[in-house]
Amino acid sequence: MKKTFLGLGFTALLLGFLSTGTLRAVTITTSNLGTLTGSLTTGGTLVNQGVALESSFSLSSAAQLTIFTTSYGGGANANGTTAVKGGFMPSLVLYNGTGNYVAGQVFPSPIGSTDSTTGLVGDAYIRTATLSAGTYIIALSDFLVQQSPTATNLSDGFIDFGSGTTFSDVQGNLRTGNYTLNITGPGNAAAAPEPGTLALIGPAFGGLALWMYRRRNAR
Amino acid sequence: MKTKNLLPEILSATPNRRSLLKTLGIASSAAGVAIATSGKMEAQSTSLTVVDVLQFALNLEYLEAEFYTVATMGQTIDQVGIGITGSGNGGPTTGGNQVNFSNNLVFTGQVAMEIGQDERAHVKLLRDALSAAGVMPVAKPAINLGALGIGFANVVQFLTLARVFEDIGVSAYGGAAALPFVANSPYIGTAARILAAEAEHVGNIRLQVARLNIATTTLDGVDIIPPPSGQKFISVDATTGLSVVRTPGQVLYLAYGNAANATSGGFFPNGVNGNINTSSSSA
Repeated sequence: MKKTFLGLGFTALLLGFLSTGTLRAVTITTSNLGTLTGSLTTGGTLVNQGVALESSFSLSSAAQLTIFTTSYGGGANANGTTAVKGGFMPSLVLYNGTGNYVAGQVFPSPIGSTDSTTGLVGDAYIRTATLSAGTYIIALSDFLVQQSPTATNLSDGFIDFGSGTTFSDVQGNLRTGNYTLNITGPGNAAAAPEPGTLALIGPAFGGLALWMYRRRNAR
Repeated sequence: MKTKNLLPEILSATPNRRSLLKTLGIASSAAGVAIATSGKMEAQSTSLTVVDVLQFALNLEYLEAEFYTVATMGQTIDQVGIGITGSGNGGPTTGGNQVNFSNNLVFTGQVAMEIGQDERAHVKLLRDALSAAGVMPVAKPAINLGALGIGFANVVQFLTLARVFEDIGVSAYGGAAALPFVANSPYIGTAARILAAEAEHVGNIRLQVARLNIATTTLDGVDIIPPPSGQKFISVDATTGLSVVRTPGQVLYLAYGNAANATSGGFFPNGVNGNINTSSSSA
């Protein structure tokens, strides 16, 4: 199923957004990945750079997901296969079933492989909080196909700041339209640690306490 | 240059040093601090100390931490495990929602997550510093994140408000660090590092504002706005090479919704907690 969308509510901002500055229509392709049980790997080819792929899936119970691509730099997929490098530099955004934003990608992907040709880690990666059961939509596109900064919902569509035809990464290297998308489902992901910021400045607390103790005793 | 001589040089190079000293009423006594009310210098009933400055900073960190946490996670800081109880009047945080950070081009969502983590750490840092000194931290006061009616609908609104918070934050720490009783305390090293963190935040946010062509307006007489509305990507005085500073009263003027001689309003509908709680005129 295909539909064409042009973000019209953003004209003033876009005029100076990028030097190329030309608005391009984005073709949206939708698919249904079904109910997620465990992990899945899916792939294909975007027909040109001006396409966004919106894939819906369901969770039957609460789960924390890891969503990542392997098609830029290649590497291991969730289903045990190995992706071939050379695909476009992706942008990933996760929405809920009503199109509200849930999570965006981390750059650079902490598990992405370096493309030996470009020397770049260009794959996308999302680690979600624990999501409630329900329907979700993962949007995958070339990195130059984005929602506008004034967008409030997936239904606001996308804007293409690229050529609309050929794929090139952030350093201008030509790429293919190939993508490989992985979602690790319930029970497959490890918790992400938070850094212990306090440990870095602990000595300052001790100094302050000592200083105040001395001030009080001096009175 | 010896370290001990650095502060006077910075003070002498600070553009609004005279107004800073006048507003705070700093004379020969380091403890003799007053807050300007109704245009007059009226001494507060108690002399201010570095603890009062830390408590004041904690109020501001509560505000920043709530802003980024609600925007990125749709939760308030107490819901993610940050302590908010303490002395003074605690209150709820209202307004705001998780922002649609779907535009990955300038990493707004990812940067917001990082800054939010920093601001929550600053809250914990200040609360722990006060507790370690045997002082009860102030409670998080009531906060109205929707005071300006913007900030959460989309990335443009978020960056507009983030720019305001971060530029104010840098100026607030710069202004507070210039106070003699802060400068001579063991806190100055940590304060400098917090200031540096806030400065990194604002530099990043301002570049995003410029890149996304977001219009901004000046907050007061010392505000330096980024392109496209302004000319400078970095909010540093071009002549001195120093960041803008605001006194606590000038900071509260903005936080209270451009209200002079006020004790509440704007983002703090019931005021802030602690001895530094009254706004002065604008910078």
